[in-house]
Amino acid sequence: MSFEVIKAGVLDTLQDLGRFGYQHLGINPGGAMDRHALQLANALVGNALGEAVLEMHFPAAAFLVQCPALIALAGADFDAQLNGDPIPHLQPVYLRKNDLLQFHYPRRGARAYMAVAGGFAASEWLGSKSTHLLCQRGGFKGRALQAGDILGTKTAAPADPGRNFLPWHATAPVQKTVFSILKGPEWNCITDTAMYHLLQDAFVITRQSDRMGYRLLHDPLPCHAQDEMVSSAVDFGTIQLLPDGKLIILMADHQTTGGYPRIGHVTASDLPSLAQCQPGDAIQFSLTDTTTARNRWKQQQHDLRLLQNACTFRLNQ
Amino acid sequence: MGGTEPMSFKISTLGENGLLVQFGNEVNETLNDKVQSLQQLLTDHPLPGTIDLVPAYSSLAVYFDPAYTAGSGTDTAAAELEKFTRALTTASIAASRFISIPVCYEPAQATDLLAVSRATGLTVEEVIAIHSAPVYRVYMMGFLPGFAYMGPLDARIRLPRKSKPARVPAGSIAIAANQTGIYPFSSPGGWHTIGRTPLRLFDADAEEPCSLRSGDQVKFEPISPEEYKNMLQS
Repeated sequence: MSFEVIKAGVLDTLQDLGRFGYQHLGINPGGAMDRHALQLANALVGNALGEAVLEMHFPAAAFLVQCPALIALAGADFDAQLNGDPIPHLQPVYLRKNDLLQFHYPRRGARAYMAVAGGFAASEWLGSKSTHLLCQRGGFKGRALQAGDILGTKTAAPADPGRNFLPWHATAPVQKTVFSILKGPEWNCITDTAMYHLLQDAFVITRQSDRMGYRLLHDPLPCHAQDEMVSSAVDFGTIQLLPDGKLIILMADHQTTGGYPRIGHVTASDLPSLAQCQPGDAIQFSLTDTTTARNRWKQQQHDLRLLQNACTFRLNQ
Repeated sequence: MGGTEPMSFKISTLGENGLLVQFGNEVNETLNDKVQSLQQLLTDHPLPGTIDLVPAYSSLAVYFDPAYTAGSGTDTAAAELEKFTRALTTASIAASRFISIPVCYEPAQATDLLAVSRATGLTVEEVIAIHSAPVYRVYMMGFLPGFAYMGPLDARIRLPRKSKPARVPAGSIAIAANQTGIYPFSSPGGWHTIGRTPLRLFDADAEEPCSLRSGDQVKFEPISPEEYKNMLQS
């Protein structure tokens, strides 16, 4: 067993790329908010890209290391320190018994990800290790980490490299403020004026924002009079228009279906950056097409695989 | 039911990784039959790259593995989906299951029962009789794991959703607009609670975690507070 939680964070859960195949039963897929950071952290320690990782919000947990472990941190930078000394972000770090891992300050971003070489010991529910808090299954006992928990790893750490950090790192992704969207099935619900404002104005993420969705603050967007929509499928990134003319962007813990017009969808390659936005941040939208969106995602995944190959190669040396 | 007929539907994208088949925008048995048929067909003969199906009242979404989508797989899938939908007959729906749900219709178990009685101008006994008379179709699952949307609801007990959602205990039977449902979990909810079932409708560790699924025929059977307590303990 590797990590003893000596101080709980506000919301630290094990997540992978989500639980699929059960949405017809209303079982929402969940998974990591920032799927790019999840894969990046895994690549750096030589894991399969979709291995379960620890997703942390700030304030994050503090850990006492009980067994050696090779980790990497990606996503938000919470000013990680080992025994009081800063450790790098996006670079593999070797932890030894009795090391104290703490996160001091939310420098940048909203969700930090920690991968451990070999993967965390996590319980699988319906094919996924993502934590489903409502059903209390998956991840670490189906819940967030609490003080006293011992978070284990599936395998022993690689041999001690004789130094604290391994000499390779990934480049931090650029944080976006303009997010590409695709038109949703109810795009034509909003008036031409509303479309103009949607693509020109700034939208502020309110405090009523969490893993389920981000509520936005802005002038109400006018829409055409229409019949109320009956419930239909919604996805991570779906932008709904609420009855008061305000928008909500559904995030990782979205419900499977919703009854509000789906104006658009944030693209998969932009969702990781959106997942790092905080209440108070102002964002904008720009319209794109499916081909461009797919190509961007393909490029992101291609780069992740290159990184994974390079790291795995070096780890095996 | 059964036989081919000109199929009216629309297929659109739902983000980069989804395709949405829409038969309409209403709570309607015929449209829902089409959704269930298509769900059956796509479950028995999955399109390549499919990772999830989300049937709803009058629509069905198919989600694909992003790796498949990025290879422009959904363009092929859209064409296949169109072919399947066009050829759909409602004769292929599996026979529905009949499920009886015991319900304790008591103000102690259901905070909105008296309010519903007042709002509809009916006595509590009338509300109970009207609600528990029909056999309801489960149109779809959504909102929460194991939450079954059922209907149609008798016009005499139709009320709009609450403007302010309240905390709803697990097992609550509730109504709103043309629908009725059961909350498998305690949750904030905007529907009016009129009863509570002692049954556990969601068991995470069961082979089939949800007791209900779309297509089920559900009848609510009133039980006494004593029966409710006894069934809870067993």
